[in-house]
Amino acid sequence: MKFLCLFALTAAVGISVVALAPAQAQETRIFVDGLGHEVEIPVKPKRIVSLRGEQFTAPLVEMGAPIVASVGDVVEGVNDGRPVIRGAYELFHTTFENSDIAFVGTTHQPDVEAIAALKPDLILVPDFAAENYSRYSVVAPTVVIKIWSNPARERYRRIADATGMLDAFERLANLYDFRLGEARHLIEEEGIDAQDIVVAVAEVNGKRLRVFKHYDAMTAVLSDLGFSRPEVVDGLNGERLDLSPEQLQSIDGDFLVSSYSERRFSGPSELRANWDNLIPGWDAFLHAPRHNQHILIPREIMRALSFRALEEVLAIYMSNIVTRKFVPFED
Amino acid sequence: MNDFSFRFFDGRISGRLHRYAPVLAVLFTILLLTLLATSAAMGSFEISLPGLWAALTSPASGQTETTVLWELRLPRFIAACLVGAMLGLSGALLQGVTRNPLADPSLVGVSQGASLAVVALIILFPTTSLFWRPLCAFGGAILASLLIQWISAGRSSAQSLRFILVGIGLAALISSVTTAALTYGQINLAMEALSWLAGSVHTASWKVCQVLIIGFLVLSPLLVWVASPLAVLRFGPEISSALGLNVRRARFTVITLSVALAALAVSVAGPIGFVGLLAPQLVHRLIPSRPGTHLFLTAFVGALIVALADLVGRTAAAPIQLPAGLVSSIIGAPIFAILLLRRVRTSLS
Repeated sequence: MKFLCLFALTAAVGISVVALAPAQAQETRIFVDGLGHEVEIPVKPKRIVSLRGEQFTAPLVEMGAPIVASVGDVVEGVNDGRPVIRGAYELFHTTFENSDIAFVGTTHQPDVEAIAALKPDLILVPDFAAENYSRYSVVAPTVVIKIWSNPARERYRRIADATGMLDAFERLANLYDFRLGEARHLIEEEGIDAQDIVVAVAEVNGKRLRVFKHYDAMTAVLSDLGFSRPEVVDGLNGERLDLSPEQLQSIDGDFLVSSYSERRFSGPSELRANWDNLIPGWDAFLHAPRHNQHILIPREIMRALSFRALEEVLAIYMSNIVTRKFVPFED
Repeated sequence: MNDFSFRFFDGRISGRLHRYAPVLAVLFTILLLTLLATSAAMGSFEISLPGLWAALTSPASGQTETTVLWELRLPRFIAACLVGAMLGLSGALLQGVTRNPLADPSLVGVSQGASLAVVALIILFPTTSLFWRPLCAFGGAILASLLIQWISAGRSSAQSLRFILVGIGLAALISSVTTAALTYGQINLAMEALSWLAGSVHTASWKVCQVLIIGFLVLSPLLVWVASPLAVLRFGPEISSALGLNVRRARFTVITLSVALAALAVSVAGPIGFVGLLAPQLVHRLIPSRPGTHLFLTAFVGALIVALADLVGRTAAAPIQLPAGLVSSIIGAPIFAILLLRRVRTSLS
């Protein structure tokens, strides 16, 4: 009997000690963020808050990171007027309603108190919103990521590194590299010299004709496949250049690529109407649209920082450029 | 007889006040304290009243309640009050010196100058450290107002009118350049700039409060000093000169003080509309007081407007945060329209 009592007492004390012991502190490490802050962050964060949809939330969803909250935007005609997570909504149909991700305000003015209420252990902030860094950092370790830095893959790796998701990143990167390798192999087999194919990425927005050297997945995949750009784009120091409509000829090439918005009032037909308004007769003047070689890509999907976006754009280029007969551009 | 006199320290401190001025000061203080209590208690993060009291009286570091109260809500409330008080004072000074009840900081290019400087910084130099943003806003505000003062400078008695017309013209010109920068800038950067242009105290921290308090303390002696020249300037330049006032110097000092106050507020919170216009007008409607009392009460009303606008903005549609500038415009525009209509009716009758 005495033995039984002693055993019960020991077991009870043991269980109490285990139950009452404070949760083991998370293992931490020092991370130097995009603005040079040395931040002590958990090695494996469990409650991540993202303050940018297509740049942070989309890749975090893709990697399966434990994200508890994100900013969102209310866009007319999308998701019945409820806030959407840009990029994650279009790529993965991730919404605040069908996931455990809480809405903590809009991209440009998140609700810091709503973030605090979720007790996060890591907050990812884009550099343009870092003016509020001191307020976020009193709530949780806060890491600033430069969202316009290139190459995009390095940016993605930084996000994966900060959130302890490097394994998932490597797995996704390997898959994309495999598909890219297959695509390059096919190009070689078809006897195509990618360098000989000139592809211009250009859009008309209002009164502007704009050409791009860097525009997320749209240009990243073109570079990955080894296609050439028009000279005027190649010589660019920045990411983009506004051209006069009179310089239209300088972007002529085998293919023309533009992005259209999946949202209301700015779809493919509006995109063509924009070109018509600024440069009447553009589709007869430029080689690519004249020969039905103008490729349109959905913007929100293409802009999301993700390997899924790269793969989708890769598939579009493969079917529109590599695997079909086209009329080559001659100077 | 609506006034009463007071004398302290054998007449070394003496003055004359409207009999309702102390009553209004007490009323505004009570309103401000009520708003403080409401701001401390309300927000997306729910704190019970006992929890709030505990966080207030014995703050424990690491506790979320303490963080939310001491690091998020209180600095934001204090910054909102200071920004509002400064904008209100700036408007009151301008209305006094120009003898125009429609004058406000945007008239002297403060808001426009600050806006152009910040928009240019965001769009042309997106990689520049955020540390430069308030400094740039302050510099832009000062430069624009100096330019307006320089162009409108003259000896004629119509200087006030000239100042107003030049102010409106140049402010419109600066605004058009800002619009062009927003139109031709990269969309992400333009959105970021637009967010700043909406006017908000959402970035307020204790450091920001420190800057505002120091600025306010530095400018306070000047506020006391300008009360008497402002009282004389109400009679117009000719009578002011006859009374021995150096009109040019007085006018320059008052405008410079007004610009400094508004520039400091705008550099922290962005342009928050209607406060500089509305706060002095509301006080004027309540009691027609002398400049000193008028400035004192206007500071209270300005603080109340921005603190209320911020509270409504951060709680009404939470977690969506409405900028204080937007809320103050929504509240201010109809009130201002009513005041204008009353004025028209009074002058017609």
